[in-house]
Amino acid sequence: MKMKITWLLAFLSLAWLLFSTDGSDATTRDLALVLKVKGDAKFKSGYRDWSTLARGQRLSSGDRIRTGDDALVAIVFTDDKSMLKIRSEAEVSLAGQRTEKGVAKRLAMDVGEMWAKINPKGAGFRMETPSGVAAVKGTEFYGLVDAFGNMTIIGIDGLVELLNNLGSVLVGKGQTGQIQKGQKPEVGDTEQFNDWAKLDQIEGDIEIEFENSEGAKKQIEIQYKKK
Amino acid sequence: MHRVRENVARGEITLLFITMMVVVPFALGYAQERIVHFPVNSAPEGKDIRLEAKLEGTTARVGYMRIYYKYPQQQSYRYREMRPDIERWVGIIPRNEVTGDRLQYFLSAFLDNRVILTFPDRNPYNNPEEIQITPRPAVEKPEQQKDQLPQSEVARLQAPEAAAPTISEASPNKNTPLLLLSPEPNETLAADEVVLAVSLVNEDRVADSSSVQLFMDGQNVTPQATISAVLITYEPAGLQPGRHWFKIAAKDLHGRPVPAMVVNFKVSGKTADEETAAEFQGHIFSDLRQENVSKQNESFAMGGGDFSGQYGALRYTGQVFLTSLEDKNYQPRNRYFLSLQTKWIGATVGDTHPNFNDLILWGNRIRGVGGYVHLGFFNVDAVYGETYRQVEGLGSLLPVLSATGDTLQTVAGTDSTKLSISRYGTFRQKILGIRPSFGSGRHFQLGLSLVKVKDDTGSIKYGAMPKDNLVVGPDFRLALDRGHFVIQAYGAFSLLTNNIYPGPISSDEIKDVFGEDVDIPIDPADLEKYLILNDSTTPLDPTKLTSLAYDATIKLNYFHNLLSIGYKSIGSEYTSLANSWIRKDIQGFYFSDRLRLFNNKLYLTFGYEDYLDNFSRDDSNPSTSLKTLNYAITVYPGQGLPYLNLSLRDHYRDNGVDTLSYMGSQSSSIDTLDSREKQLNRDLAMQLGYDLSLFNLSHSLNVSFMSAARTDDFKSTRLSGNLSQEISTSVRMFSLRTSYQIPLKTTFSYASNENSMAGGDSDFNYSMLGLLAEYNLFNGRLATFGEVRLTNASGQTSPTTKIDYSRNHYRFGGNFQIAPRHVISLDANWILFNNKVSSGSTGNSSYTDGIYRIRYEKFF
Repeated sequence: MKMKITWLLAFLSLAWLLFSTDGSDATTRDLALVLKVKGDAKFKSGYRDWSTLARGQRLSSGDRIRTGDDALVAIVFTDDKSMLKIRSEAEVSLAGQRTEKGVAKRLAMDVGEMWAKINPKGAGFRMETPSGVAAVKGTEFYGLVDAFGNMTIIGIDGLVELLNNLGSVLVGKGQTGQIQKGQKPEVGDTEQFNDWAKLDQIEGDIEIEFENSEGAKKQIEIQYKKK
Repeated sequence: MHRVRENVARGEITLLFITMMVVVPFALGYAQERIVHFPVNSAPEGKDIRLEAKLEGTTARVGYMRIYYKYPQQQSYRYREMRPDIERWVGIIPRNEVTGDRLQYFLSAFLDNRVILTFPDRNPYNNPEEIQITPRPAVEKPEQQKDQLPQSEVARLQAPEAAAPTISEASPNKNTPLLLLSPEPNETLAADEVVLAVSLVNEDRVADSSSVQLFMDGQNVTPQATISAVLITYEPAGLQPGRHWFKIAAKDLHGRPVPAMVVNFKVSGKTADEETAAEFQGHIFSDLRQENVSKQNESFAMGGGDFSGQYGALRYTGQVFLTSLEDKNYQPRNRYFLSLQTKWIGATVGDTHPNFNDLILWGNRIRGVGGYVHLGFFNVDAVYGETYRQVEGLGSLLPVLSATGDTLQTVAGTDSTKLSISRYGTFRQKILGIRPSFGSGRHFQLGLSLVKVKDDTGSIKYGAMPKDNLVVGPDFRLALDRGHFVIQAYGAFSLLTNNIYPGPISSDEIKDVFGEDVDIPIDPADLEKYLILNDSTTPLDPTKLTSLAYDATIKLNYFHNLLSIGYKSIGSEYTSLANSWIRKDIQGFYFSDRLRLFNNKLYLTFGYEDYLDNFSRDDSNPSTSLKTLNYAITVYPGQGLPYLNLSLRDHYRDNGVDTLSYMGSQSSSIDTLDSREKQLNRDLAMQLGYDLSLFNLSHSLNVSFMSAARTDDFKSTRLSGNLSQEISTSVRMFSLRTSYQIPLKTTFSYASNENSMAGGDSDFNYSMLGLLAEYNLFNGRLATFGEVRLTNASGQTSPTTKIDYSRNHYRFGGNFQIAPRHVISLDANWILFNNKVSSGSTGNSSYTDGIYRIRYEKFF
């Protein structure tokens, strides 16, 4: 009887230890940081309930994000400054595994639209959807998963490999790759697309320093604003 | 000096040129009054289409001038008001509606002598002008610039601790474990968007998180920062607008100081929401014109403004247009509206153009109130107002005459008098429309529209045939695969009572007509508040479905093809007063495909329509088969090379009648009726555009050629005395726009038009030579121009009617920016009209006109 109680207590302790953590270890915490939130966005970390996502929120491996109407979330990965923007009505989860080169990042997207600019020197980025996987070899692309789980990748720069169990294709700059559920990936030329990620930039300015032949320095500030 | 080539869209130049022109169409035997307009045959997708027209042969004032336009597969025409300009009327089809492969349009003018003119002047509704929409060329995206992180200045203030080598560097390639995440050097952020974030792990370099020190504008804020093994973040509160900086110092895992990081950034004076909210934009103008046209003084003034903006989630827009030409004897020329909208709810007061159902209510102007509630899964749109305002007619009370043969119309009156109406007025026409729907419309929507339109019989005294109209119909849309597959369908059923003066018919009156055995389940009088039913109601037997209309289209966008297939049927008695321009008694299918090849450098378009006009044969006239074939090719080789657009359209009309009909011998004038119709209308259009550099100057060249010809299969067997149905017209246009190394631009243009009607019995030829020079002064603040346009016209429209005149138009003026966003414009015109035909001529005698205009605009 004592033995059984001991084993039961040990089991319960172990279970408590497991369930009391957020499911991520120290090496995959602070995987990414939320830089900007527009509109309604929520996140779920571990076993906690959904809560409002705000600027400055740190994201760990296993965290999920859900965006509402007219929402936009901008995220930066802490290991290599890769950027990610998630558009409205999307649901994604982040995962990462630290390696020597950095963090091997994974984004699981059930539905929605995203943009990513991946540092080619990082440990890699994969986007997993119901119809297939996009393995990013760098650097910039748009990803869309529709309500039926079909995936579209629009290559802006670099290469993205689209693959599922029926085959794989490479999507380059100016190309669009698609995977319909149950079909092999296809690639074609990009016709038109909404470059929405670029519209998110606000005004800024650039300082340029000039030096004349006499060594005198002068600075010019150029202010620019999005159209 | 760095020269910048002006980026002028080829299509815009072509449009600007061809709308400077005028052409006189086929006016054989008609009144001299006519709309003069040079048709537009092609336009680039996504750009405004500007149309110009003028009136000739009339001194009557213009009540309105409108552009009616639609896509080929649509049933209803929308319209846009045209505005008076210097000796012409100008209207625009907005860019957001310039999509697809073709647009159809015609022009209509209503004069104060109650004459309605159209262009084309014959059957414009069924034979509109057609504009080929040229797709946007694929834009080559510039090479993505690699991240180039600028070198910032060294820290402005020394850190309190012993100085470590400091750099301002955000590149991850440097020998530091610190990786800047946010903000970027010299970035501008809203105050509530600032998050300082630096990674403490950069590739294989790691900083000791316990050694990190963070300074913000010289203040040590390390205790307020959130520091983990890999990341430090800090969200400052209450940052003032202006420049700020922060500095991070740390040591590596071996205790060695790492290069500190200093980052400058700027905080704007707005919050993030204010940054992203649309700025307020506005524009006001006033315009005064002094016109002395054909020795008549026609001065008028206009003014108005528009504004738009956003406050949080609320978007607002408004517009006011006032003109001294506003007259209670015409439909309103003033315009105004105010619209407040959010994503879920919105309202508009004033002039609104609701779109419910392509067959029922689609873009007509309604002055009243409109609103919507859009929840996504369920939505409601509604509108209430008037489509026409009352315009009193002309009439009087006359004593009743005992003699017979009185042909005056009688509306109402006492026993001894009756109303005599010399001109019928327009009833005030009220409209109520409501459309509930399910689905947001992005992927799916099912809606049901109900529209009631009724004339207000008490609004005027001298009117006739006031109407009552009820239309109901569903609409459906399904869009899959990001809009690559779209199904769209509309249906509608109408009831129209053509004269509600007698009121509803009663059950007793029905039995009087059809007998006592007739069993009416309802008393029409009980339905009066919904629809007045009487013997002028159409259809009398709704079960025959003569007032049923439907249209379904499938669109597919796959494998570089934009395919559209549809079928429509509009019953002979279908009527929607809110959409009175719909073509009735026609059914058939249509098909079009646009193929994109070679990276969107080559477009091939093919279309086919097969309709049966008058398919019901209610009037015993034969049905007419209408078959149309369209072919077009557009080539965009790329920048620096010419682009070409070719289109050909064959339109066949065949009513199946190939024999003459003979009338009874009682007819004293005509005993033979020739209703045979078998024609081929062939329209050919070619446009070539080229931007080139020659003699160190930038040129934009456009050449266009259009021809239209109708051939009659029965030409050789037509009866003598009957006019031939054959016509032909050809138009040639050339323009060369040149930009010089001084701020001077010139445009040389030439156009000619040759028309032949009635198999050559009537002809009209027109040519125009123009030169426009534009010169900028004071760094572009003053833009001046001078223009000369020489036109000549000659022809013979009837055996006794000759045309031979010249019109020389001299114009100069300029726009001056008196202050930033304040512009004043002056325009002076002299027109010398010389009619060279002394007798049997059309139009006016020779005259000189002067038109002067001043306009002020301010932009906010």
